[in-house]
Amino acid sequence: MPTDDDVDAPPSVEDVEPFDADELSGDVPDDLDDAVTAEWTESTTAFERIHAVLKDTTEPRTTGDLADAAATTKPTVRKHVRPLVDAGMVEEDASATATRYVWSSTQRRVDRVADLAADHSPSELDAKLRRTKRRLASLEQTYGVDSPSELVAQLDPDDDAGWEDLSVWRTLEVDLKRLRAAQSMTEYLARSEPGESPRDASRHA
Amino acid sequence: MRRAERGGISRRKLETVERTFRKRLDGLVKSVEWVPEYDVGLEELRIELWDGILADESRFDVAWWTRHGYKYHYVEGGESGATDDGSDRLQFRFGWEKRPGVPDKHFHPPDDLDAHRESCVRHEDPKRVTLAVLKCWHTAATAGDPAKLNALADPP
Repeated sequence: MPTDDDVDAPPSVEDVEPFDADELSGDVPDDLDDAVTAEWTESTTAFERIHAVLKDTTEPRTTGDLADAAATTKPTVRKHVRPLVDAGMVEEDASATATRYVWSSTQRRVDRVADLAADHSPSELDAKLRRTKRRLASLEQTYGVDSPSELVAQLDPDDDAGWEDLSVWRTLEVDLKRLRAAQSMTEYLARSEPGESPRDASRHA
Repeated sequence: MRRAERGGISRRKLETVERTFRKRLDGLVKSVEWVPEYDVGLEELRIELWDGILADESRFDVAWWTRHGYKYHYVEGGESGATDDGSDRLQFRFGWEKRPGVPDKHFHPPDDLDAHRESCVRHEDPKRVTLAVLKCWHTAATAGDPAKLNALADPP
């Protein structure tokens, strides 16, 4: 029903054309996985894909694994992974038969803590920490155990709610560490603010 | 066989999902919400859309975990005027979990939400899985026909 307000009407699905590859025009293809890979390779460079795949790694992966996951070849992976290893962003494990690579977890963790510290005031961080501890305490109370590792040992495979809670618990454990680290970082930054402390004042005198 | 632990939520992977939705659907993304909150015990990314397959509005609740696994739960209708249990709304879900008795990568079709059918999506990276889910949704939404989802590996 067209009205004078059509200019302000919310967008509809007819207004968007999300895909570039021919493989993804028309109906959902039977080989959807291949079509999606075609779309991905068409809209990105091999380096972008290798970078994206590496960034999601939490365990070391072989060159062959990475090439498959990034829809490229092993020589291309080797070429692009080298500068990332040299820059310390990717860790190389050459101890096994095949060399394996994983995104540096140290770098990742430091980046997240720095973001948290930069984006939040000490009181905001404090409130987040309190909410984290409250939710952890509630999980401990619900299940009568002190850690997610103890919980996993007693969970039934079909206890969907329990498995949901287990994931939340794992998430909260990491959140607690990050928030504590961010709190330390803001305290450190506040202390070293120029002109804020007597030591700084004396240095500038 | 035990059910495999999937770890905590992966914010990095969910950010890839958010970026892909925004880039591919452009103005159709109405809102994005981190539930219950980004920094404390994040459980899912909620993406509301300005259009649906049958209804005028819809949303995806998405989760990715660090070790393995994802869910893309789709439900139609806005917050207002909705029934409490959502039973009469169109819903479906793409999932990946490792548990006994069900296919790892499965699809809960709109007509039988409790069923774990073999999914047509077998990738394990957030970018390609999101593109595949969007393709299924976009095709069904353009046709206004949920049957066009074609999300089963071997459609009956």
